[in-house]
Amino acid sequence: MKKYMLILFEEENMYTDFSPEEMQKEIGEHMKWIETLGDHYDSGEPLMPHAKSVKGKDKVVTDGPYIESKELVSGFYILNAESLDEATELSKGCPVLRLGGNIEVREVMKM
Amino acid sequence: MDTKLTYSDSKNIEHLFRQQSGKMFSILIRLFGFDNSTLIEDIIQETFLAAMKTWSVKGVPEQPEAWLMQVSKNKLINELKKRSNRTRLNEQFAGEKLEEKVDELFLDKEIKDSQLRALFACCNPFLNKKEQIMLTLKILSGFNNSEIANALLSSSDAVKKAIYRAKKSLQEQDIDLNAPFIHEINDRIDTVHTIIYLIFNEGYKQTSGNSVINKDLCFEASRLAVLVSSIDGDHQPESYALLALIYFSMARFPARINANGEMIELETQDRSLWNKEMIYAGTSLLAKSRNAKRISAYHLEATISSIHCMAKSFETTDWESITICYQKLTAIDDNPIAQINYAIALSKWKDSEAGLKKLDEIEESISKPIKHLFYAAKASMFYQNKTFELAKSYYQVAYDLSKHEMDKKFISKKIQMCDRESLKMN
Repeated sequence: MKKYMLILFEEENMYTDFSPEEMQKEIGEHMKWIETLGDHYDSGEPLMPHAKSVKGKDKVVTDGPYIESKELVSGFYILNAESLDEATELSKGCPVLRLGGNIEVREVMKM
Repeated sequence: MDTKLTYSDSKNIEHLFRQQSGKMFSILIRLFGFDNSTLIEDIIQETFLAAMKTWSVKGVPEQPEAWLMQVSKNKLINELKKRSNRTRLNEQFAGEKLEEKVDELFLDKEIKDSQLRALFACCNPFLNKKEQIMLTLKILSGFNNSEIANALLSSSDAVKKAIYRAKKSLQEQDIDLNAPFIHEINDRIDTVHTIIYLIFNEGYKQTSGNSVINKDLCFEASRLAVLVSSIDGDHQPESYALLALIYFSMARFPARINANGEMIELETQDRSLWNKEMIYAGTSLLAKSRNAKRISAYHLEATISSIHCMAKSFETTDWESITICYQKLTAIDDNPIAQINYAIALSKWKDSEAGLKKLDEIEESISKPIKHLFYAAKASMFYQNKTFELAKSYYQVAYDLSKHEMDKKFISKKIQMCDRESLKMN
């Protein structure tokens, strides 16, 4: 088994209009997905929205995420899978896609 | 905080965010007042967003409610520190003991007190009934505008405007949510009961056809009724009666709709589907409600509901007692729907003649929005005495007058039944 990182991209205000009930339902959706993953699920971390970026040799510090778009990295999951294709297939169940979020799947390099 | 629970565990905390939202809103509004509701909504939203992000990845914590409370407490402390040099909150939250003082606000007893204060503030007679309902759902129940719009068959935009107006009128009155409110309880308890009853009724009637929303509203009404019935005093038995009524009605929910989403009337419901625990809870509340100074409409409606819940079948129902309750109900509260139900009960207890006679007496008092109920009742009585042609023609009138899809479906089934019975007779 290899490890794969699912990097989640979401628009910053994707959940602005969500009611408490809807947010709770969203958690339920994630839990359902993680349950279906079984042993494929390894770990994950959510990220706070605010960020600083440090750029290049001059180490210029700016506010905000590095990428220049409305989307930002909102968190990641680590999954166990046999191949990039399998990890990609597994990622299709992730509830953020339903709401217009995006996922990048990357294999974790083994030393 | 990182114990992972499974999805099935998370089901046990159904509506937790909604409840928590009501608690947080009540605490924060007591601190910041109605003029800062945007700030309050932001704090609540951020708390839930944090929970959603973390729990989605790491699982639901072992004590989800405590987790949410801690996060909102921290956010509140940050906010208070930011505002430390502004007046109003200064005296109360000055100095080093900020954390301790915030902790006190989050004690169970204080939370309950805050919720009651917020509820009584929302049920301000200065606002119209609709505004009171919307504000209660928003503040105490954590509904957002589109959820309120769905529940009350209105538009998000209309809800937004109404809530804005309501908050503004409350701001203008400059309500102090920290003042002692014993007097307010006595003056306003009837309005609070009415608002809870109306929220429940919105859920119980099936016009929206969306059973999820219906259940949510009834659930919220029961939660608010539990809250209100915790207040000691002369009005407490009435609160018990209201809660009993809600429980008896909710107990029958599982049998009210078939797999196709169609309404099933009491007569043909599968009584084994009724929730026995809720009926039991309703019965003991009804017993506690007897210790009242006056018999309220809630007492009578709960008693009627309990008689239905106790009956083994529709035929063996104690229609005599039900008729007497409706008679008393129409005497306290001149409600045309109660009048129609009185006539129906009478027709079941005595005969269709008695019911029809009663309907004739009340015909003039029936307003347009409930005319279809009147004609459906009339039709059912002709059906009962096997005059199927007449029954059919009155159902036809009821069909034309009814506005909602569910009602129309229900009545058209009745029309088919009349046709079948007529055929049999020929």
